[in-house]
Amino acid sequence: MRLLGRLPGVGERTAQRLAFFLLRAPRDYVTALGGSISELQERVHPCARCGNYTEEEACAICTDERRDAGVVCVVGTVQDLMAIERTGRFPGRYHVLGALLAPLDGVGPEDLPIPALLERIGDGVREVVVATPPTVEGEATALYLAQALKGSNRTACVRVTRIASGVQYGGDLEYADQVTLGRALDGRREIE
Amino acid sequence: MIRSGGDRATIDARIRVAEEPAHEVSIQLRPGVRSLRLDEKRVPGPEAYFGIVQMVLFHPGELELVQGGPSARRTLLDRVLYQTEPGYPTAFRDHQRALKSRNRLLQDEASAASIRSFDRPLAETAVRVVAARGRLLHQMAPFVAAAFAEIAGGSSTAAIAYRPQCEASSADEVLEALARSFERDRARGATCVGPQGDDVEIRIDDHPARSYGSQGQQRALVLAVKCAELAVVQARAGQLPVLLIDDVSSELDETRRRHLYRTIGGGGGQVVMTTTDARFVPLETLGTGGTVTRVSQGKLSR
Repeated sequence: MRLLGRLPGVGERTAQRLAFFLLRAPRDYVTALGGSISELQERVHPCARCGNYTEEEACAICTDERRDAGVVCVVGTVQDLMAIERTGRFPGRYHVLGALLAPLDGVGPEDLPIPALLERIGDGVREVVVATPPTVEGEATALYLAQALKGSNRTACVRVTRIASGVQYGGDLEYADQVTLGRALDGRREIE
Repeated sequence: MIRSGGDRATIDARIRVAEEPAHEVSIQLRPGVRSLRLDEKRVPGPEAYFGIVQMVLFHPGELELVQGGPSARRTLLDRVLYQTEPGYPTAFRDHQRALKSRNRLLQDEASAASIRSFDRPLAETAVRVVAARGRLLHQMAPFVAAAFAEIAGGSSTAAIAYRPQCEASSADEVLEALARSFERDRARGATCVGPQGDDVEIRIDDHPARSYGSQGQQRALVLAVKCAELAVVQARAGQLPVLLIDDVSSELDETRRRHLYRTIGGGGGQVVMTTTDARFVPLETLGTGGTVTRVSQGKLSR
């Protein structure tokens, strides 16, 4: 229970519930679960190209020939990559940073896989979509990347874009916070 | 405050605003840790409960507003804005975070590219903080002038005005100012441009109140600023704030004390006062329904 309680989002009571559930669960399920957990870190590792998790050397997205190799989306975490994948709207490939620039937490540019990104971009990439979150650190990371891409000879003519931020779908304008609404106005588009 | 020998202190409060169901607020202090719970849920920051009920605090240290440095005056503005301007807590917190990040990079002598990558988040939040503070001062100024005239009597006049460190009205203008001050920031190891350097100018008869005003005038002015705060919080929130008065009586003479009580008594809101001498608190001028709680040797009694 002590170990279960260390999982994120699991408090004392949930840990107890999980432990009792496992005690009563079918044996083969518990064995399979235990096996998966103990093998997790041996089998799953970051993709050598983009940083997504995979059991192979390169992940399923990097090896999928149907994906557009000319567009690379830069995300902070694998969870963010998954969120974008769920939209089904992005045809390109990814580059996972694993962290954001955060001087207060001791994370600097040298801790991010930026050289690997610049290396990749040279090979026929037309556009880099920066999809770091709209927070202080996310914005700073986006700006740093844009400068790094523009400053390198190999990548200077690549188009660098930032995901739009705006009003939530199905939400009320009245309840949107000022920054979100202000940004939505800044990023307004013509109705076709 | 944690009792000597104890490991924690807890404050529980039930807050009922108008006819809405009551909120339960619990604050727990442990050495170095303060945790808040609102309606039995943990809240990440003070923003969550700031919007529920507005509070105006009077305490003996308020003379700092006139006599002290700019930080006491910025705190006054921020406290009102936290309670009355929905986007302000986020803007202020993000500005602080961007500022601390940039300052850390300046101190670490990081690359110019690293430092500059924080300029835009800093500029965008700075503009919002400055705009909100400007609107608040604009609203407060006439209340301060009127309250001072009434409290101080005589022909002296008082005025307050916002003095932002950077007058820029757009993020692009702040960015330009940041670019201009870049070398200076590097040399100092701190960001010089932005609302962290703001001040509120307080004047009596068109002279700086700090050097020109008499002790009595300065006290009257502080009281006028607090009365203006009360009026503005009420106007913005559309409901009466709770007044917390901490031992203020000892700081004020008889006339000003009477004015304070008149302002409070006329308001009709809830007031919580502390005093070391019950004679300072004339319950009869404050209307009915008051409860007196005595604190003696760490024990409460009614």
